[in-house]
Amino acid sequence: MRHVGDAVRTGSSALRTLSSVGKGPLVTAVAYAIGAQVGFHLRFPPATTSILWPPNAILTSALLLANPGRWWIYLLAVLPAHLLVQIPVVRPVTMVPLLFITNFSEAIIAASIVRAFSDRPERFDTLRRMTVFIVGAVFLGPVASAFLDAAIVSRMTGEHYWTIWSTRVPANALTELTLVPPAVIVISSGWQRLRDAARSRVVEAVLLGLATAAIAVATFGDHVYRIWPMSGLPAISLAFPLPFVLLAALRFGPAGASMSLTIIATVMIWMGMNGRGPFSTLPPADGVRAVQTFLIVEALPLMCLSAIVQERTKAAADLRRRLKFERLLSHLSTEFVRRPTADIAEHFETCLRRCGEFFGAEEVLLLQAVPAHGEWKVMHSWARRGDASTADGAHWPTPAPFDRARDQDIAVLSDTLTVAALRSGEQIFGGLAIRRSDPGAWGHDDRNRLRLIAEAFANVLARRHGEDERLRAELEAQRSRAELAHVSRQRSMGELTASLAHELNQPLTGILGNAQAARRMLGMSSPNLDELKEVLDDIVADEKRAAETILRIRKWLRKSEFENVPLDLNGVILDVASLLRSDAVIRNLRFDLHLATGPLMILGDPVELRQVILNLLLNAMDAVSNVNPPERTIAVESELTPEGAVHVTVQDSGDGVPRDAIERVFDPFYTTKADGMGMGLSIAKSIVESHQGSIWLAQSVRRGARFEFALPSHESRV
Amino acid sequence: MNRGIRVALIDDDASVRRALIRLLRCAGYEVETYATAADFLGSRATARVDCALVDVRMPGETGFTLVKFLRASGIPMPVILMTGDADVTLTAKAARCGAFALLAKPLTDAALVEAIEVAVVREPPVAAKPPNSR
Repeated sequence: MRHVGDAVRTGSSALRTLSSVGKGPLVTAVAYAIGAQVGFHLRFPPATTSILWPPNAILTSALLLANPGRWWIYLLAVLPAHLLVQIPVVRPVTMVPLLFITNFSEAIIAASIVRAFSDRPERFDTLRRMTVFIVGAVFLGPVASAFLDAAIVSRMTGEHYWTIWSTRVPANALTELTLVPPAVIVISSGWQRLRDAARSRVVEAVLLGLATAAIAVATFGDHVYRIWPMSGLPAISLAFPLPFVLLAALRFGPAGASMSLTIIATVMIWMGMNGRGPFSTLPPADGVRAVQTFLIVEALPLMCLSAIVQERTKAAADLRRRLKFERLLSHLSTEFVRRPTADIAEHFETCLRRCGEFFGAEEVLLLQAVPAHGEWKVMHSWARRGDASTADGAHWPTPAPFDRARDQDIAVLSDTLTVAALRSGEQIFGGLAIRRSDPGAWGHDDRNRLRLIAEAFANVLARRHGEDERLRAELEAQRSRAELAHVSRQRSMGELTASLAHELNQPLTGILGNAQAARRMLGMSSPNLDELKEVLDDIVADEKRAAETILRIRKWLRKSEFENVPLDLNGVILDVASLLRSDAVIRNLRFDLHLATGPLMILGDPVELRQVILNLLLNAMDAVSNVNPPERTIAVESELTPEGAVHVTVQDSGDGVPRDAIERVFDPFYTTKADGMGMGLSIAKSIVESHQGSIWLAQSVRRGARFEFALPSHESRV
Repeated sequence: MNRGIRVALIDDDASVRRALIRLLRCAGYEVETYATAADFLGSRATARVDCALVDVRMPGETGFTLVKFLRASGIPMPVILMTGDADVTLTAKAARCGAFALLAKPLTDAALVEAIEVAVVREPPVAAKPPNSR
């Protein structure tokens, strides 16, 4: 019946629509007819009043489940059934359609009130819903419609108005109370629940029903009295079935309570019709009223109790599940926060397993959207049975149907597969897919939970992605800087080639000259051995000199990974100055070194720092080339500042940096030299900054420029 | 071989000077050594020596400057230049300046002796010709 409201609207399925729309009213009409027949028979003859009158309750059930917009269909469907059943029995016949109106009015009043005030009219599992049902359907519906009913019947048959009214009300109220809840529960969710229920629950329910029936038959059939003829037993026996009804209410909620009440009512009425039971001694009319009163009085608190029990049970289950979910979420966030980003992927499967266990899933997949291929790729997966059957090559079309779904972030891909979007801002870059064996089991809370978990995964994945990007960019920058430095080193090397060739050839000239002289000496009649010894000593010394030069060149050209070692910056300055010494001689300039006494220890890469000094000195050498030779001086100072920084100054006596270039001297590819590459100072700057230092142009005046840089001292860090 | 040829050696590198003094003496030449061109010119050795062996790359006046100065002064003494980075450009430059030869360091004794012998026997080809007239 619920399908009616959700019926598909397309024309091609019009037939299905018709059948699904027609099914509810048809079933209702049949039930109505049967109920009326049953109602006629549930009497204590010769009294004419029915103890239960099912048709009204059946109508109420139908209207509670059906969309109010379709109530008229039910009205039309039930009318023939009503006429068919009532015309042979009811006299005068003109009363039949009027009775139809009263029957229907009760159902409409009851269903309207319950629908207006209950958040879920088809459920009775909270005290509020049960109270709305009792007030609307059990009390107001029967009471209000009874006025109309009594008016019609008393006018038609001449019976006393209030007698009719007072017999109609309890019969209809009792029927509403016992019939509507089980009927509505069974139709709306009963079959589903019955199918899903554990076997033990079904067995328990059946046994409880049989036991209730048995005890009812035993007491109301006077069998107990016959075995144990205690005086007053018939009255006491009314309490006998109570434990079973209580048990049903506690174990099976409103459905159980009303089922067992229905069993008791049926047995009691059946026995009463056969002149047995606690009220068999009363006149039939009084007996009917007694049975009705007893059942109503017993049913009202029991139904409320069962609703409360159900509510508590559900609240406890919800709380348990919420706690479980919070544990899961805290587990995930600890995993995600505590682990370094690079390691998280290894733990995804554990996380997916915990999610799967929480949701009772068969399979959990972490998917990545591959928009280029229009599909999803499985990144990580977990399967209950250990076989990731669909995990390999499971592809679903992308973009996911998230936008089509009512809920933007959750998409139902099939009966069993639900996907939550992994978002980074507006962009959906992946999904967390959960496969469950039972379709349609996603409640509102579970959807929210799935969304939260997906968010946690999305955050960590986005974080990892971001870190990957940054790491890549950093490596890239480091690599390009290293390459640039290498190029620049080679370039500086090229500038120095002439002087290096000179420096290398001097010792070689010495060696060769000495060796050939020695050969000539040995060719003489009396070689001077002392002189030969001197010659050999000179050869050895020159060889050392040449080797040192070669070592310097090699050290210079070596391109290596970034090192971070303790080193003496004074040593680096002396190294570079000695490399440039012959160049300085040729260019007729003078280095004035005023270095701090004692080593200036820093942490860094010796090759890179040598590059910094070299670039500064080469720059200074170029700068002084325009001034007169005696004034060509480059002063290098180093000191350890009181703040714990190693501070180096390179002061030249050149023309200074042009004013318009001051801002840009450290920019790459900016140069004021005709043949400059514009890289020297920018490389120096990037190297100094990668050593947590800073470099600046301290002064630029007519008498020269002063570059300074500072690096953290190694001692100051210890 | 000793025909009393006197060679002046001008090189700023002491080690090179020592080695070449030995080599030249063993080859039978008399040798005077100077660390700079200025020292050489200041010693008035131009009157005594038959030939000068000069390093190109020196602080102060280079070998080229010295050759130019001698040619400009009309001193016909043959000058043999030595350099570690000899190439075609530098050789051409040496010839233009009026140097007798440009030898690549390190020097073999055969090349050195041959250069001296030829330079001393043959009078300088551009003797007394002022280089600036070109």
